[in-house]
Amino acid sequence: METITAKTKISELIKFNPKSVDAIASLAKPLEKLKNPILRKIMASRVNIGEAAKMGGTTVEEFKRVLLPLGFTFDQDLSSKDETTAETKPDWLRNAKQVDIDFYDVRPIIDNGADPLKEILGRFKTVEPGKILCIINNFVPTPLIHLLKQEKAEETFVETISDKEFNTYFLKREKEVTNSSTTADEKLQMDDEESFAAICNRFTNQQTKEIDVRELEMPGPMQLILSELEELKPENALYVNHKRVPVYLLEELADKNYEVHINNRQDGDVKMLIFKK
Amino acid sequence: MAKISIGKAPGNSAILPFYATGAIMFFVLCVLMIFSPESFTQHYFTPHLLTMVHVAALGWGTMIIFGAAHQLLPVICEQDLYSERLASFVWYTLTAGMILLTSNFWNLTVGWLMIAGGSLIVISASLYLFNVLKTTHVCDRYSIQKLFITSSAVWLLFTVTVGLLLAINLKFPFFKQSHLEILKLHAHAGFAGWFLQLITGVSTKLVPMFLLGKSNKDFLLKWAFAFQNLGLILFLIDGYFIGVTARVIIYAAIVLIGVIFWLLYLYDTFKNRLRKRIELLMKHAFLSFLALVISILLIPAVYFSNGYRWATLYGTLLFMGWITSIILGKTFKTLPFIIWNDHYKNFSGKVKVPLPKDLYSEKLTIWQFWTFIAAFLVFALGIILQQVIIIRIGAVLWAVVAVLYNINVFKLLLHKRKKIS
Repeated sequence: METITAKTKISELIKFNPKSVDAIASLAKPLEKLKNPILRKIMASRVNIGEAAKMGGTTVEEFKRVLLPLGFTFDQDLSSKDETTAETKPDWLRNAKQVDIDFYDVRPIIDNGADPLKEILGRFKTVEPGKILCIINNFVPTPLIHLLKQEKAEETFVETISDKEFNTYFLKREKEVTNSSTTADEKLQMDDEESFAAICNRFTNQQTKEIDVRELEMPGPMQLILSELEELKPENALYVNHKRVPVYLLEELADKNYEVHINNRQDGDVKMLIFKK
Repeated sequence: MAKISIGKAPGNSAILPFYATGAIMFFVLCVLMIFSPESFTQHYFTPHLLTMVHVAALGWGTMIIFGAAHQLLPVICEQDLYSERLASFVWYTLTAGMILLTSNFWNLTVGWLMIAGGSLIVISASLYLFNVLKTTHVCDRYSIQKLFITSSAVWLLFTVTVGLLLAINLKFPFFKQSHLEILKLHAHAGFAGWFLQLITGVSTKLVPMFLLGKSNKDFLLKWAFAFQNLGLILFLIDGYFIGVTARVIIYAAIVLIGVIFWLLYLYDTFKNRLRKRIELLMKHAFLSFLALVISILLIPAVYFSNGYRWATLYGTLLFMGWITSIILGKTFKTLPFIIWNDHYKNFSGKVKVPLPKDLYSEKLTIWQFWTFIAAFLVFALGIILQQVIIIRIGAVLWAVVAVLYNINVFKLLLHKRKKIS
């Protein structure tokens, strides 16, 4: 007995029971593509039941109907609401000039039995920030939408032309959002007493947690600082009394997007203020 | 508030010359290997191989370890280093002694110069031991790492003293036992006494710091200490009074148990780590430990087989696998921090500063890692097949590793302080 939810990947179904392929294909025309091994390879591992239902214009209930006889049980807690795609074009698309949209028809690639993902990603790279890439395809490329949303696509919109043609628009972000790509050096500041006091004053006493790690044996200070930071509320800061600049900790904090201010008063007396950027 | 002892980092003269010299000598070692690949197809007691082994052990391994130990002792003991001047003196005597000794080995010019070289190295090891004892002595907190570092320093002095006696023995024979038998004892006191115990002690302090993890299984380290020393001492006594027999396999097994206890401790630390990213250092450390375990397992083959290939492979695994790999990784976990502290620790006045990892090229260390693997495999293959040409190709790859390492080390050493804003 395999318990599944709307979030279960198609590939997992097929792995558990190869008969799933035919069962799903029987639901809707677009889902017949699963019978083609190449397309199956492209789609099955990237799409879950909920998404497949949307691509096929059917419902999770329908999936349930055909999969139950194959030895699957459905997890009932997961309400499988079908999100209907917005039919009206969003503003960013309506206001876009035709020249700013790069149309890319990937159907020939798929017909040749190849996976167009690489080409699409390469093509999206060439799109200028603020401009739009439109992928023309014979199904809704749900996995691609997920992937590009994590990457650099700010907005996406699927336009249904017919049940064999879908235009998916990707709006490229204006510019790189600086998250982990900020250079580490922007996060490490050596302050003098004055500038350090100024930065500490940005936080009220209630927002500041003070700890003293001077008596702890290595690597105790690091561990305490890290565990305190785990619990630190957003908008709050951690004030650390240390006896040395904890060099091994700095990179760890930089990776985690903390801003670190250090005021080295004298040997054995180092103050630090750490907060989320 | 009670006064806290800080354990200030010693001045650069106590550390940086060791790193610079070590890096250069690593390159010299690789060049020597290119020039003398046939040494790896002959008996291990040949002038050229003797030279290379001592460049590796003294100029490369011991040199870097001295620099790192001077830096780490204050951290471990939370005490300032007893004497920085002594530390500098250790560098002068070691460097001069190593150059005198190895240059006289090249053509096996026995005599006073070689003996002088050996004497300088004994002086160097004595001064180092004295500095270690004085630094750890004031540190009242007992720690197993302190024990390992102290005992390894004692073993080093023992090793180089036996080495000096061997150098004298070449000119004025006085040993009743065969020179080669004593040489085996000398080499293994160096391996299992100096290198193994130092690396055990230092790694069990450093690895938790790098990985932000801790193991509470200190008992493993006590057993590691007991077994590593027991195996070595039994081997030395048996070997000196009776001779090296098949019983070495028992002693090797005892040392191996000690190694396994230590690796179990590190594994426990690794399991409890907070820093999830597996860094290059960890990969290097893993390869290093792998080479060590393989080399110990190879001991029966070395003992029972004819020919030199297994003995040569054994030495290669230890020097180029175990010791070199750990240094290649650890250098970039210690030196950048030393340089950073030196340049930026006392900075103040609202300045943004680079991070330690920004001071060297991370990309080069990745190249270094893969080239290291290639060099080791080609070189080992050449030894197993006893093909001079393959050994030479391996040596060329080693030289590439050494160049990459040197570029990064000198990039760090020559770092100019810069403000970002």
